[in-house]
Amino acid sequence: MIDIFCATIIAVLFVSAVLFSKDKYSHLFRVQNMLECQYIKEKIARRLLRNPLEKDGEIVIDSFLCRWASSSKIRCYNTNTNSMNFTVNSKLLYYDDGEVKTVEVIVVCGNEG
Amino acid sequence: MRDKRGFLIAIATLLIAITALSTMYTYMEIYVFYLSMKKKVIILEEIDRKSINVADIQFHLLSQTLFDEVKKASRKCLNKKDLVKNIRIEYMKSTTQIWSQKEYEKYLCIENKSLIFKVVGIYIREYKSIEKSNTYRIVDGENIYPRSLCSIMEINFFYNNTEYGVFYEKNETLIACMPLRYLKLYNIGYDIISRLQNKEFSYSTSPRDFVEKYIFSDIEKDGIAAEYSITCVPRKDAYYVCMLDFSLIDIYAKKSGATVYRVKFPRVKFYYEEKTEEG
Repeated sequence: MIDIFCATIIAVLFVSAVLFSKDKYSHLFRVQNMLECQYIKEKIARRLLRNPLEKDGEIVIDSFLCRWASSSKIRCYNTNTNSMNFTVNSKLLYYDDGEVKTVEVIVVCGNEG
Repeated sequence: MRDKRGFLIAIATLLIAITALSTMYTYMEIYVFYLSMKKKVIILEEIDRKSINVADIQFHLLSQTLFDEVKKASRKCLNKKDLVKNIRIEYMKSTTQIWSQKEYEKYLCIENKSLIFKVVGIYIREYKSIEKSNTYRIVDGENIYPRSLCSIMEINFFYNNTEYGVFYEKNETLIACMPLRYLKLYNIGYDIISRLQNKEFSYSTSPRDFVEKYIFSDIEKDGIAAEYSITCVPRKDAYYVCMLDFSLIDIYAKKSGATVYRVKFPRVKFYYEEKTEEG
């Protein structure tokens, strides 16, 4: 009888530990997805810094389609469907006609776009 | 006997649970470590991208300052020391004007720490004395020549974030060049001035021919032309007081499509006697 009792207690402890770590893992997965999105954001920003996007132009960087959303905003979204939805922003500075202009780059990781 | 078997099963289950949990937590620790490394990499990527962006802005400022100041200097005929001084002042003024704005100050802030950049030095040199490994940008015109004027800026980037254990330091050398051979033209112009200034000359030609033959005849071989006007008024004796206004034109710079290719020199006074055949 004692063997079943001990095994049950240990199993209960084990299951609760697994459930606890499941939350922790899902949080870490979310963090990882966010970091992936930030990494892509950096990649896109670097590319747009080297090759500024022309007015009315669009560019595809790592399956992200980037186009002007307004005169000072570029919006990039993933062309492949993805269940995760994150939006990360970065800024780029361009020197144009004697003054510095700021362009905001919005990267949507997921299928929001 | 039965209790002993139950005890062994309990111990075995416990061991399996401990092994499974410790594996799971070890994996989790490794995963957390991997994510923290990834975060560090992203911070470093961001710092590097922003330092490239800042260097690009500073390069534009340097190019603009060089162009404006050389344009001004070529009208006033400033010496190298004053030209460098003016470039430094104007460059620092425009840099401060931009980076003191809240918006751009914020741009330099990454994870609550600022990316700091410092201009180590700004120099003026001729293109021939620049190390060929450095990349440069032509500001005015299309071609560059050994004695073309270049402005060199050394800039240092620094970032330290102990919270994430991220340290970054980078030195950049930015070189902007103009085709105009300013220092060469300046030296030739002042050599002409020192040869003429307040001196007396006596030749059998007219003052204009004298200037053409004896003063500006040598400069053509260096790809330089002169634009001048001369006015002479008689003195009490046989001499004339002559005033020469002149500019030197860099033919190479002009041919390369540069907009700044002329250096204007201060008016020079000399005394001239036109000898007659008998004299």
